[in-house]
Amino acid sequence: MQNTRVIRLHEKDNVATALEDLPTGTSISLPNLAEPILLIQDIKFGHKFALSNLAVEERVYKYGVPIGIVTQSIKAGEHVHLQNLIGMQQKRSRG
Amino acid sequence: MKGYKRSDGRIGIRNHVAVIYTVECAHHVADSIARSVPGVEVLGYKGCYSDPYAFRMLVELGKHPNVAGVIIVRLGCESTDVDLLAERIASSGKRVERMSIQEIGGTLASIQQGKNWAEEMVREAEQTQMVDITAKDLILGVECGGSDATSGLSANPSTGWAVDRFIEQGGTVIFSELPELLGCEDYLLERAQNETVRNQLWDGLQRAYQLGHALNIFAVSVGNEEGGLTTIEEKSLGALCKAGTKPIDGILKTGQRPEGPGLYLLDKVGMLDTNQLTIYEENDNDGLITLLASGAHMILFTTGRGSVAGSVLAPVIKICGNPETCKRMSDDMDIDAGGIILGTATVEQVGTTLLELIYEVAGGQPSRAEMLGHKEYHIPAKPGRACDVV
Repeated sequence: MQNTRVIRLHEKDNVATALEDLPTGTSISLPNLAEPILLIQDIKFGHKFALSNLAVEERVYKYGVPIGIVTQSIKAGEHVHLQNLIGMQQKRSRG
Repeated sequence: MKGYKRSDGRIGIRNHVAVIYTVECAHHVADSIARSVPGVEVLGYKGCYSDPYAFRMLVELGKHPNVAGVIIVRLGCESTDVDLLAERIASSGKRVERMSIQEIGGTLASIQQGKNWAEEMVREAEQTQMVDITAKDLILGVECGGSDATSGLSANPSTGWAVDRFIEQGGTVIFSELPELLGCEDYLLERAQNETVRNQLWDGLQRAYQLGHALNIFAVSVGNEEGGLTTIEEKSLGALCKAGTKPIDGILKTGQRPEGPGLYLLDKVGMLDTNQLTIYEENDNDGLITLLASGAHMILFTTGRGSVAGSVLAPVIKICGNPETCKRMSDDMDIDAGGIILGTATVEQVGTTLLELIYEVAGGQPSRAEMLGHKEYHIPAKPGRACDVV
């Protein structure tokens, strides 16, 4: 439970960050989270995973602030990175 | 908690006598004076040609409230206007002595004269009136260096937590490194206290963008991506969060001081000239000096890979977020934020410990960098209008 090392930096955040390499199937419990999430991919130290299902065009929050926009739908427990998230600035510059 | 009351009303938390050299040729004499009298520190500018930025730094460091008195050592033929420098520093009401090595008659005579003044000034400094102080009397500078993948998760968030509480208690905090904040422009602009701040912030961000673009820096690197950072917004927020979450009350230009309590952003990004790229910050100690020149009494310095930086006139508190580095460089680190990564501490817990330490160090307890004798300073020439406000 609390032994799993992850950090959610703000209560508004819809992603959390792994503080150690976490294998697929790890159960993640966090305060303010209705039920535990199962990781559906390996998540390496410093990488993010979704705390809920996220639809295309939805904003991803870290530090309580948007860090980018979802480009491919994301399931709870899935790795959130370059393959499914783009920065707002980068998106703007691409038009 | 007590501080030193200066004649201009400012409050110091240290009581140094400063020897300032105005060209590299005078460095050895200045050093020799400082080495021979405890409580005396040395700093200076190496260039023979005057530079508006460096001049401004020397003025503000001489006037700094952690300084009780100043001895200026010049060779004699450098272009820096030493009389004006002495006059500007003396406007703060503190004792300023100056000497020209050429006029006094060489190295030995100059060192002897400097030692005599230094001994007198240290004795005078000991008589400085001490008054009760609170957060309202204190200005903190926040800086990072040697960052790594832990920085945005442990050291910076816990420092930001302490910064927020410190501001709630009436204190003042200055952060800087504007080019590293590109990516969170929208969020920064939302935090501007009023329209003036918003416009100044926007202006600084534009210059920072031009600088970043011209130098092709300040982007998400492959190493950042491998470490888990996806977007420039995310990377910048990891750096910004060490300055907490409060509204930005004002924008300072190089050498300017906050006019009231709250959170201030020091904008030291110059204009891009056609021929010269503005130097933003040559190294971390350059950054610390600009924070001091804007009145910071103390620096909160976050690191991951490890920094040993100290400062000639102000205590530096080191907050390290990488558990491995905390172990390997333990004598340099004041706050171990690595527990956040290990799951043994929370952001609030580390932030609380840091807040307590801020007050202890303000009250006179030496920080690790002070105990280890770190007295760095770096005052380069900065062409390209890096100091427009002079």
